Amino acid sequence: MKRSAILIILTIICIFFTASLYAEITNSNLFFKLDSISDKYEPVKFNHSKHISIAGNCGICHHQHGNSSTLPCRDCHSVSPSTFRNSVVNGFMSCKNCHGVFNPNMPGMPGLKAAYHRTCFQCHRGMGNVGIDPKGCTQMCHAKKEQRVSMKTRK
Amino acid sequence: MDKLKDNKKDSPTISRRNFLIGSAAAIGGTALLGSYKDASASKEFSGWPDRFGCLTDLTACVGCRSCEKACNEANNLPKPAVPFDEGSVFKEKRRPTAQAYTVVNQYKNPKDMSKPIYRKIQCNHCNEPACASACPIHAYTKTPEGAVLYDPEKCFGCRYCMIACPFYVPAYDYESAFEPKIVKCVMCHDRIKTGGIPACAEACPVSAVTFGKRNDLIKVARKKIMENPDRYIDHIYGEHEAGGTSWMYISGVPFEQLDFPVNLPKNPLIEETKGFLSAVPVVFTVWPAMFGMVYAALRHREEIEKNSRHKKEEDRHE
Repeated sequence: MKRSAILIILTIICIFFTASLYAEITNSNLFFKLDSISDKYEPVKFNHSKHISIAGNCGICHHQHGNSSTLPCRDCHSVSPSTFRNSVVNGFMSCKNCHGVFNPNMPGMPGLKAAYHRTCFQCHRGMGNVGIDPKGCTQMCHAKKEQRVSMKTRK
Repeated sequence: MDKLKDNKKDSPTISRRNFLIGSAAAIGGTALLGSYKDASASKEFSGWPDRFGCLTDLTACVGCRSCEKACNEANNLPKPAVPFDEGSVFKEKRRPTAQAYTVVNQYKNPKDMSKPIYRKIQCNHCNEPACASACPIHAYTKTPEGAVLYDPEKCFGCRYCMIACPFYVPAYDYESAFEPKIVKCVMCHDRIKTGGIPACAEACPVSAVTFGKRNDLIKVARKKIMENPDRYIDHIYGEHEAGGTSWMYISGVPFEQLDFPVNLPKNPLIEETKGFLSAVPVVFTVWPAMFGMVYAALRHREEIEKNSRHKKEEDRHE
């Protein structure tokens, strides 16, 4: 009786932990805020969970995943959610580790801005007015800031 | 005896004429030979080794016109009448002007109508620029960094470069009445020299304009074409056109559909004109002197003959 009670409790804990990891990656407050050019545009609110459900494969955007099937996160990243998240944003898996500031000596490696946009345009080009009218970009993702700052002052 | 005398009489005149003709041919010939040697010497120079360039991926460009805006700001050009986020400018095909060193034009995509193709136009910075060879006062320079620069201080506004350019790039500043000048993209030479990259390449959100060493860019382009044979046609525009340009393009559709001039020779355009042009100074200096001397000699002879005739007539009268 005692044994089975402990087993049940352990199982509940396991389920809870797995669910929390899954939730962390899929839906809970994963609206990324991309604001590197926030002087010109409002930050982009990126809905990760929506993109996961539409893309169905991490490899479509995260090219280092190759073409492995849907959501293999736990297979490789059997760590706590916070550690996983930290490694993606700041650690060894961060996009900017390879796609940093564009370096003319390595023209084959797109900078972070280009890498992001190219990934977006895989699907978003031709969606609405994106890629047809310059305003399409501001309609879909980048709400334009009224007060424009020129390139000169940015430097 | 008389015959001999006649022969003797004739022989000096013929030989002198022959001599003059022969020497003229010799001088002209050496001038031409010299120029040919110069032309062949330039063939051996395959360009500055570490020169920079840009690679425009026409399949990546989404027509956001960020490059036009960045160029405008980097070169302190006047604000355009139509703002940069307006797509209405795509209704007509534009070309670079004194107020816009680069422009983007829209073309229909035969592969997918929902994704138009955009072509960015600016100076291609030829390896051996025809504009520089056409300029009578050397206002143009091809820098070791790759950019073709223009010196407005030297320019006197003949606009030969506009006619010489196979890409119709140099524009004339018709607006300023007193100091009109030729204007064109300079590949942001000042920025490149200090380790920066051209404003348009920096502003491009998808890196459709990629800046780097020309040799590296050719490798990048080849790799892209090899890995995506369905996406690109097997041609790097600018690798060989008009002797090669610093600005190159890869495309998903044949370049003639995007109004690229495709009838350009593989050799630099300079080679077509160099032999002729280097003969021009010879023609203008040696030929007047030579024919002047011939004329003077003939006049001298005529005068001597005239004098002798006068003398004979006077003798007869006496």
